[in-house]
Amino acid sequence: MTTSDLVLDPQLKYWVLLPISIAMVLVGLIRNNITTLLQPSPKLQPYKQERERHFLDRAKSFTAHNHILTPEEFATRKQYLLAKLTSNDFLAVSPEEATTKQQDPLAQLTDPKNNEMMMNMALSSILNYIPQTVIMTWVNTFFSGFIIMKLPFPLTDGFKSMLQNGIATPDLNVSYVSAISWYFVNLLGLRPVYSLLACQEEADSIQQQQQQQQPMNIAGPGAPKMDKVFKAEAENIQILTHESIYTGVLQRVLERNGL
Amino acid sequence: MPDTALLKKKLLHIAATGSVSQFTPEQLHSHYQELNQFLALHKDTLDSIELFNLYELEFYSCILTNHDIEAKAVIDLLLDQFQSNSKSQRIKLLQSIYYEAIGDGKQATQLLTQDPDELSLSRRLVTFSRSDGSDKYIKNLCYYLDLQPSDLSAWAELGNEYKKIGKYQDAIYCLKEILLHEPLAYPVFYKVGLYHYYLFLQELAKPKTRLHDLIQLLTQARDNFLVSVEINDKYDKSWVGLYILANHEFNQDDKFKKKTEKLKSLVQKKVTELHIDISSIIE
Repeated sequence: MTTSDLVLDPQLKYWVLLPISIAMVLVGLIRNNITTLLQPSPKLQPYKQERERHFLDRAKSFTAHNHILTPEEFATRKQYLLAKLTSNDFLAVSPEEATTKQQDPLAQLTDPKNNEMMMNMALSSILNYIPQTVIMTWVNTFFSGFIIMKLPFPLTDGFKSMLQNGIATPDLNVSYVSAISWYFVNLLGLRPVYSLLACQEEADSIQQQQQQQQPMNIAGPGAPKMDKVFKAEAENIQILTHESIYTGVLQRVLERNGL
Repeated sequence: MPDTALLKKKLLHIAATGSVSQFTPEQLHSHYQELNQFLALHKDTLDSIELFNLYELEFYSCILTNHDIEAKAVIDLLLDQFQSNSKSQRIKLLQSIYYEAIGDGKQATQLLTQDPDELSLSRRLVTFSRSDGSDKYIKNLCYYLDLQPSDLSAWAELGNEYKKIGKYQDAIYCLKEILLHEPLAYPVFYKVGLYHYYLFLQELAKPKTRLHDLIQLLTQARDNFLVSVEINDKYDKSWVGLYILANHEFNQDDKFKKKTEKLKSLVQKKVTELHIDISSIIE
């Protein structure tokens, strides 16, 4: 069964198709800029946490590369690291303090760090939803049931639900696009346009740099407790077997040179 | 006319590695001119990250070539750009370097002590005590290393300071700390070997030293040189070290001669292979 072509008023192009597209692009750009402006500036870690992280690093590198030490050096370092890892010397928050904090549920809620993170998450989702809702309402109110364009190529029936949302004509050729569907197509497909217009590439690389500079926040909510991590590392060190790189080095070098 | 893209890459590489601090005066001079010219001609084609990285590099080049006024201009430019984020450690660091360069130590110190969380500023603050003698400097470095126990360049600096006052054992400890993080750093192995040799010489000069200890030190020196050449076969410094050890009067003794014979011939071979002019070094 063939359906004859619909005749579309050319004015639809100027008064519906273009306005929707332009509005989407502009709102997207504004949203992009606002998100950049609202991004919190990277914060410094408190020095105690940095110290803790550095010390853990040191212990880990000892576990990984202790073969470069002589047996005596290995013994002294092992003793030192075990003593420090099992004491509270390098912990940013002593275990007692941590448990009292944990027991108090109010402290979790009033913790400024948690609040800030929640605030950021809320802001970013609000910035996503509000403009979308507004534009969708606008399109739905003014252009509901509009068919605004015909795609210049044929499509299978599978695309019907995607391209002809909001109009109840089961037999219409799939190439015709309704206003609300055009909105959805724009919503999902405009990302490359935004990045082109907003020099996103550079912005992305700036963001990447910031993330690189900021070490992973190991003390964030849900992270393992540092004293447990320290204890685990101490156990690792306890069971280390040491083999020095210096044993037989002369023989190895001589052999490699054919002597 | 050099290729601009290549030149840009080179300058950005220098900025990223900080190798400008190790340039010879001639290199520094030509680098300074090159950078200035590049910035004047191609400023507009760079993206903002590259541009400000190069400005930072220009600041360091200005300071190193005694162009104080230009350095100030670069700082002002950076401040104009990043005024909203005046908490930036990176800019404060540059400012403190500028103040130190014009001799205003007080202001520089004040800038560096504002926030204990700004650890790269604390590190810079530690270096201010260089002029107060080794002991104070070492104390400050130790304090800093207690805060940042895996800052490798600080460990290297501490090792260097210990070496200056002849505490080779401590210096070796510091270098080993670097090796634990970077187990393939052959120049550090060479240095450890060298310090063992220095320690040997120090002990040798003392009236009552057990022969066993001396041999132990020499063996350790040899082993470190050997590990260094095991990692990089062409590292001539370590071969020279081995040459000196193999020809040391200690090893001429009949007891040790047999053991070192092979090593001696290997070192001799390598020294000729790598065209090392031993006579000029030993003198």
